[in-house]
Amino acid sequence: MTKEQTDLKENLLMETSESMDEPLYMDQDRYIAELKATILDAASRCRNCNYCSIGCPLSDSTRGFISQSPSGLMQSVKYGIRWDMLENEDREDLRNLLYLCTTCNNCVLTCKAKATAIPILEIIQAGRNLLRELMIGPLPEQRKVLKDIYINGNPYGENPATRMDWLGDLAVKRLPQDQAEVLLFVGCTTSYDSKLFSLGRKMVQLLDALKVDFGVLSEETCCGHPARVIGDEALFQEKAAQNVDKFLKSGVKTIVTVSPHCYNTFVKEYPSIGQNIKVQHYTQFLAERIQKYPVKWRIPLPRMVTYHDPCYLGKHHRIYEEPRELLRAVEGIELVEMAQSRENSLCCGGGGGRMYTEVEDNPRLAETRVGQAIETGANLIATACPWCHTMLRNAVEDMNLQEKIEVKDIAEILFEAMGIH
Amino acid sequence: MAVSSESICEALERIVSRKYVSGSIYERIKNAIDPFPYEALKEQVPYATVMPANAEEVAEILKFANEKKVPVFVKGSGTHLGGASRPHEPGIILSTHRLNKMEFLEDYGFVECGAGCSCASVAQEVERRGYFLPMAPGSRLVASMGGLVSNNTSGHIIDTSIGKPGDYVYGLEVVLPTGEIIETGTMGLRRPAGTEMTKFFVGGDGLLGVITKVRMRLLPAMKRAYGVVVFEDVVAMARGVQRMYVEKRPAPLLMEFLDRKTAKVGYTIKGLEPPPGAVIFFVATGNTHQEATGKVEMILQSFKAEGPQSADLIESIELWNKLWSAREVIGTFLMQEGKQWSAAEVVSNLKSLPECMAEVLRFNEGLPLFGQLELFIFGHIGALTFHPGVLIPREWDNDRKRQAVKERFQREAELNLKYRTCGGEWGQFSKRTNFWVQRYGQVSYELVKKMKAVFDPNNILNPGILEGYR
Ligand SMILES: Cc1cc2nc3c(=O)[nH]c(=O)nc-3n(C[C@H](O)[C@H](O)[C@H](O)COP(=O)(O)OP(=O)(O)OC[C@H]3O[C@@H](n4cnc5c(N)ncnc54)[C@H](O)[C@@H]3O)c2cc1C
Ligand code: SF4
Ligand code: SF4
Repeated sequence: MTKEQTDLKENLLMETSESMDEPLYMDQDRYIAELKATILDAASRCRNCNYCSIGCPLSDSTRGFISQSPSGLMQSVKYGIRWDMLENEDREDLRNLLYLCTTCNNCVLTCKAKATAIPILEIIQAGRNLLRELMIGPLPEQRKVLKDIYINGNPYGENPATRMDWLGDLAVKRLPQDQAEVLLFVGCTTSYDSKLFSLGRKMVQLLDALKVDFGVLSEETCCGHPARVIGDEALFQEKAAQNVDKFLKSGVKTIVTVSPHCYNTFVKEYPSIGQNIKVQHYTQFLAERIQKYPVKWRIPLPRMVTYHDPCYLGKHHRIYEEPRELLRAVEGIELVEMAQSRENSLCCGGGGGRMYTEVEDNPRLAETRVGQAIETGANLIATACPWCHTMLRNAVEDMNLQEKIEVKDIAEILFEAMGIH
Repeated sequence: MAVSSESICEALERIVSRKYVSGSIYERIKNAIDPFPYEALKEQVPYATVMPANAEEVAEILKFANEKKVPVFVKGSGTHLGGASRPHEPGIILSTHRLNKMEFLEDYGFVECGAGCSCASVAQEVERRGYFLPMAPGSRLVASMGGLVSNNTSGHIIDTSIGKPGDYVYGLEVVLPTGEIIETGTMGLRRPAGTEMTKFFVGGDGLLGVITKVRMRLLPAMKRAYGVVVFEDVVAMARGVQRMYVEKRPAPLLMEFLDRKTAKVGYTIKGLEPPPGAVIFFVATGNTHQEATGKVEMILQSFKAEGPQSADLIESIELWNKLWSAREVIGTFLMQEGKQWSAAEVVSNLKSLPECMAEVLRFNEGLPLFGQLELFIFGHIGALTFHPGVLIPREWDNDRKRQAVKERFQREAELNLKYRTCGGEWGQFSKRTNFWVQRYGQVSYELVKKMKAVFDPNNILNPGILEGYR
């Protein structure tokens, strides 16, 4: 653990739920000053070429105002600081801008490849942290999410005692009481969204069928990613510390996540606080497993499938091939690509805390994405992220296209193809 | 009505759907900056941004602006490198973002595109159909067709090969500063003889009207071949370029120069062994690959007569792509260490090219601020153009940065005056107005001012560019 993080942890206040709107740090002034310095430094490297607006779901696909572009967000928070506007009557404008970002990472890749390699997303993140400290952010609906994570350990305000309900009558090892090689980290969305219960169950049955020695945490809690992207670093650190403790006690060799967001958090954020167990997204794990121990596909699936790259697999971690390998392995599947795929893939609009708010996009990103899928002639959109799944499924329903196209997670498709009952 | 951000927005919302009008202070600030390394000034922050959907809405905005005497600044992608996209006083930012329709009229031989289409998006569609877009600026990804046509810049393309974009613009839809919509040019492939209004707006520096639609001739794509030469002695290299012209070789489509130090940066980025000297790499075109290759060989002959370290045909498209993409990102890659790139545009005449090359090597000598910084040089040498540049430290305050940029424009002006040339890429006024007056004289300048006054009696459209305030 770095000194800074130790300080952060030590500075955590054990607060009551009523005070969740209060900042969580003791040494707030220093933290605020550091955030401001980070933002000013990075933003002063921006040459305003606006390249990063290309492919940004905000400026490219839906809006067009240049403040609603990656460098626009960065410049806005910079001038907010420089011109001392953070607490004036325009503060909500700034907040609304910063919370538009889906954290898809497109701009970071573009600025690195074509311009000055500014870690734009870290600056947007620092901006959100700053607004949170000043009690300007996050958006009202997101405040509730923070409270829910704090109190219930999940962003949906669900009772933690019901977290395992999705399993129904399936028997699974519980860690750390039981012992296993692999920890399946299910995540909050798959655990609490009843429309995704079957995804969790199929995942479990799939792993069983593949003879994986695995278990789930008996007391799983949020990975902290929503708190982090919404700007509450202290809450994130609290969740991270709880999880790392559980991971280390579980005795497993590998952690496999259902959600790319949990995956990202475990590989990018947790190592600095002592997490040293191998982490894989389930698509990586299964692709490796199936290559080692070839699978018998019992049910051919003669369908035209297009794969939607979740940003936190693709643009954040360059995991483009494994999900496609899995789909190609299934007999009968014809895989077709959308106009925007892999590193050019269009975000579904659910990341960055936008899952919890109603963002007025015109057209809505997920609907544009479904339109792209329809254009390929596919009748099935495969994805590998519970949030993308939800966003795309809702879009299909809102567009009344259920007859034409379905949305499924890769795990569900594999489950069907293996003929598991 | 007192002019304020609120009152302007209210009025604009009566013309354009509300969601395409923004009075957000942050939107206004972002429109008050440009690629120059210094900060926005509070007194320049615009009142509002508006994104009209068509020429009619543009016309209404301009009529309103005339009535209220509020300046209108047209904004494509805001990447102008001569200061033209930074408003110098509060006004309305008219973004062409929504003027983004593209229509292929292949049976007429044209593509028609909205002024807000990005160069890259048009190029992609044009190329998909087997044509070629005669525009290749470094900013291709974002630069708008309206911005490029207003500048009449083809970026890296060598003018002697296929000319300027204006040679392919066969017609425009333009909204005059006073709010009338006009059409120029022809639907035929025969260009109008005699008075032709298109010329006022192509390369018009955004002074005389708002271009809303551009009709461009579809040029069939040609086969390409590539060459590279390396010289220890850059003056001999410049003589090679002279020879190419004097010996009547076919002009290349693209011909880039990198001094040794800059080449090292570019080659290293792309994982190539840095060359032992300065490099030129170029593209020749032909109807067949053989014809293009033959042209490359002919051009190489001219260079070989000047004693290069090497002069070769590039057979591998991968190598060419690496060289080209390295070239494209050198300026910005240099900035990845956290400084701000700032380069001039020095254009030689053919006769003086070796002398100009020698002077460009000393471009920053004696300049109080610019002279303190390390010089990197590249350019479109086939077009006799050099971009000597430096990396400005971020720690410098706004005034120093402004002063350094000013020194750069002054030295650029001295050289372009000496060689009796002018910039071929970034427009003529704004930061170059002083140069323009010296180069073409007060009489010409007064004439342009009068012309501007005829088109724009209230000086509503892009004020400041002609005056050179920025
Ligand atoms: C990284 C980088 C690389 C670049 N490389 C090159 C290069 O290689 N070659 C080159 O020539 N330039 C280059 N540029 C400069 C710039 O991209 C060009 O000048 C381009 O023409 C500007 O287009 P824009 O859409 O950004 O115009 P803006 O900057 O938005 O506008 C430029 C001027 O044109 C006016 N204007 C814009 N649209 C219209 C319209 N529809 N009607 C009337 N007036 C209009 C504006 O009012 C303004 O005065 C580069 C810039 C950057 C940042
Ligand atoms: S690509 Fe990078 S340098 Fe260019 S505007 Fe975006 S953040 Fe700034
Ligand atoms: S992360 Fe994605 S949504 Fe956010 S600013 Fe960058 S490109 Fe836009």
